[in-house]
Amino acid sequence: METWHDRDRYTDAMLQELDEIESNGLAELNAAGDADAVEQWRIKYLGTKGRLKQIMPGLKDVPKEEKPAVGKRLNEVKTALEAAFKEKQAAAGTSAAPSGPRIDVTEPGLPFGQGRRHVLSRTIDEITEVFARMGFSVADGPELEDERHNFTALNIPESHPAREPIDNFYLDASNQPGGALHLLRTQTSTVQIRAMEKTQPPLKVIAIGRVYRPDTHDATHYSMFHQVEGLYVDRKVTMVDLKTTLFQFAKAYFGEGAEVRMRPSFFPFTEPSAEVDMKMMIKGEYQWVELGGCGLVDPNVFEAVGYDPEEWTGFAFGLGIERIAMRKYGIADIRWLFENDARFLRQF
Amino acid sequence: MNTSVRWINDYLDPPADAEAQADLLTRAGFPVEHSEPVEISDGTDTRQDVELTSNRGDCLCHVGLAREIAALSGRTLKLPTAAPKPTGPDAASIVSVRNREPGRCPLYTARIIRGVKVGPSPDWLKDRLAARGDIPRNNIVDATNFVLFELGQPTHVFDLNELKGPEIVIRMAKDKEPFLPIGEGAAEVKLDGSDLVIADAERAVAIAGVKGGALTAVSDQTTDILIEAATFDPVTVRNTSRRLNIASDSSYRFERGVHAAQVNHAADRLAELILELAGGELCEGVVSDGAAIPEAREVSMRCQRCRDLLGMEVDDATITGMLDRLGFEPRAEDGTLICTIPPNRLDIEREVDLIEEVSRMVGHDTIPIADKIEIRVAPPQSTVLARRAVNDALVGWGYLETTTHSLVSDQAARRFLPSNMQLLRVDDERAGAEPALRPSILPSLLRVMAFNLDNGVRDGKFFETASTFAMNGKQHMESVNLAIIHTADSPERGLREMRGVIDRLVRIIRGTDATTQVETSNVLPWFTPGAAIRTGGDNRLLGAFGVIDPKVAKQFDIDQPVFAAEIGLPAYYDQYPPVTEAKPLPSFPAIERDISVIIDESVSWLDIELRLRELVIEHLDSIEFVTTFRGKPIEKGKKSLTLRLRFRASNRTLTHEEADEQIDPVMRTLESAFSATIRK
Repeated sequence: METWHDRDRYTDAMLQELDEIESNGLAELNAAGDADAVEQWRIKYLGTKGRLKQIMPGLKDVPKEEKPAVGKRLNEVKTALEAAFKEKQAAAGTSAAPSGPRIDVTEPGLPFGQGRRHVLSRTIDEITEVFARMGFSVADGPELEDERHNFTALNIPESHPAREPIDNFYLDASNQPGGALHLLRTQTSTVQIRAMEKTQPPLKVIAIGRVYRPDTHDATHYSMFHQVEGLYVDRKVTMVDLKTTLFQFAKAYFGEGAEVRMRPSFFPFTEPSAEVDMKMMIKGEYQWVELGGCGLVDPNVFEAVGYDPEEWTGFAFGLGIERIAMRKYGIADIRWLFENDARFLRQF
Repeated sequence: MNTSVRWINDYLDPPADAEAQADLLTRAGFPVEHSEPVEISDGTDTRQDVELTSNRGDCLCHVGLAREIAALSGRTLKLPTAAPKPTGPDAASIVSVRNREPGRCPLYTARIIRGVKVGPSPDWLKDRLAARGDIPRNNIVDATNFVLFELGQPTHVFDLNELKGPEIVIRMAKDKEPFLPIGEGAAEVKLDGSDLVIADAERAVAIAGVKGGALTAVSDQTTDILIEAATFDPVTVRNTSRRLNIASDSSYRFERGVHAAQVNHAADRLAELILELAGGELCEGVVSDGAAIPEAREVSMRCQRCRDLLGMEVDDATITGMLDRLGFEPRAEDGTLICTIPPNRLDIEREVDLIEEVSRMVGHDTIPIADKIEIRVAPPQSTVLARRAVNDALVGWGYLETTTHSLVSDQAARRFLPSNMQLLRVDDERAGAEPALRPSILPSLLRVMAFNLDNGVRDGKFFETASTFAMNGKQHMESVNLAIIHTADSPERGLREMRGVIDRLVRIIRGTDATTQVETSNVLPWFTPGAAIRTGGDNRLLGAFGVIDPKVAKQFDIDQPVFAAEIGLPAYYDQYPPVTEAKPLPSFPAIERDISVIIDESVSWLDIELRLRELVIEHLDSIEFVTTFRGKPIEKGKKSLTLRLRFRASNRTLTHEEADEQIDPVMRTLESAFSATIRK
């Protein structure tokens, strides 16, 4: 059993030390002549390893019934020292002589870290993000493709004009080591096929990437550009689902006032097919922009990947990334996107 | 295709004004790109440029478009009829036709009119053609053009008296067979065995479906004519047209398909027009050679399937009405509509083709937008998150992301081709001077750097993530790389910054404990100096970094040191994010000891680090590089290197003496292994 004496000893020792900290502290602070000395004082008394902090663990040895009194005293001393310190500091501030080099706070900031995402890849990220929220995963595939994925499985038969050498970057004959002809993909629809070959339905993916078509470069044409391709396959996917998905995307990406318009068109890999226009904010007002194509997946495409078109239906769409970025940011010449002038890149 | 609004209205009751036509055609899937008023002899017409899709060859004419407008708007379609009266002798007594290529020419027909008078066309005909933008020539040529744009059937008229011999032969051209096409300034072309021609006894007189010959063309002196109406294989026509670089309104239509069933009607229409415009006598009968005209196809559609795909309620009666207006003669059987497809609708073969017709007729603008979509929540994707984390870090460090073309010049590509690989190239003709699939992103980034240096951007820092390509024997290689490039004030700084960037990126992807190792052997030749970099742990080759060889930089017109790295970090993105487990912080302080040594320039930090790691040093927490110093008072050929040893015990505070005890063997090793002089 502990004795009363023990208790008294802890309490008295604490109170005594607090008295000593208070009186010595105030005296030493008073004596501190310059800012350095004041800082040294702060470290000694108020710092994280200062005297007040050091004494705190002693509180646990004080008997329970004495704790409120000792705690109160501890707070008093702390408040007194802090107040005195603040006062001293304020006085030092106003009385400090303007000597030595002065800091000119009006000098301009340093231009560090002017890095930027490329406007196309930033657009790609934004679009990916919106579609991710709508349940689409990102799928990818090679840019160097074979005929099957670029044409045949997409219901573009052997004799189709889209296969003409003049419209495609086929590899040199010397680079075609037998088997299927290879070319730089002309559309991200290739990834539809790759995704369906790998996965059984249902699936909901987007593919974003570079595509290539021979073209003379001018303000609106470039032989490389980017597409975002979407594919959704499930039971009972309809034209209403397609239009609704595009509409929800448009609202989420282009703003509340965005709209979607579809008009019949023709693509080998979708049927029914449609061109899709979206109304997006350009220079403060909503304007219609032709963004790409869409439709229900053609049954021949499903057959090419071994899906039963009676059981599964789906929609697909492809939108032009350059078109979106150029209209959104008022980029007048597509070549600016690929010139990579730092002064242009830093605008976004 | 340019259209005349009045011309389309010739077949519509009631007529539709320009705006209504444009609106209806757009709804049908044929948007009007351009519209302008045109002055004609009795007022104004409107020329509208209609954009057609490649599957609808049947709409490359005014009747075809009028049919679409009628079907969509409920107007009545008034089709032109033709019943020319023969008054001359039997045509077969004058000419015969031998079709040697029925596969490529399913049907060839010839009609003969004798005694025509070539002259100008009447105003109504000139007006129609001029409204479209065509220049009227003479009544015969104008009549063929009229039929072409009215019905979509190309025809050709020969001057009968210029044809040699009594027989028209459809055959493949002979190799190098000469042919002079119609047209001002047209030059003779050499045909080959892949070209289908119409020939008389001596020579080719027309390239089938593409162009007629100048020597047998209608002239002012022509009196007797042979009217050709036929169908040709689309692929043959296209190949010849592309190869000879001759395109015509005929080839455009044959490439999209012309059905044999419409040939005779169009030829009759043309014969009737010519009789009306140029007089003469039509010989009795048609001389023809070809396969039997295929019977009309039947395609059926389940109405419920149609509703299932559209996602909207359209009742059977409405669907039936729509298909009926398109001329598909639907008849119902148990909820299925069996349609007889008009011969000119080559695009309708399957159920889904009919469903598309219904969706066009319903109108895509009437497809409702639902209030919400159903989703299955997909987990965030490692590769997407990792790429974003890397991009964000680089951007935070001041790097600009670029997007450069994957095709570069042969010369640029070869400089960055690993010695065991071959270059992949596309056809020169398409790619111009830049046919090489780049084996590295660096040539592109060097070009960007040079371009920006020229523009006065001296502190350029750039990066790009993209595919690189090469061939390894017979194997195509495509891998996604991250390339980084920057300039710096000093080589030491430029290189160490680059290594720092790589190490930080590796840690972002692989975890804060991940390390890299450099390797100074087998350095890629475009780095001088440079190093290969491997991932710590699995020791896989990650890539390389270094100073771009000044000779290479010079070839890109860069005169200053450029630091670059190209790493296969994206291959690790699928492991992102790294597993993170919190570790307790050390409870006791560390003691640091810096050692500076003067060593030969040839001794590398890697040498020192590896040697010291072999030592058993008690309480060692880390060995760190601090700095290198060159110049006075250090003699030339030597450098001063400072390293820091950190000691720590897990259970107590170390004494200075304990640390000092460990320093001695370290210093002795440095002295003996590297002839180092310890700086005091």
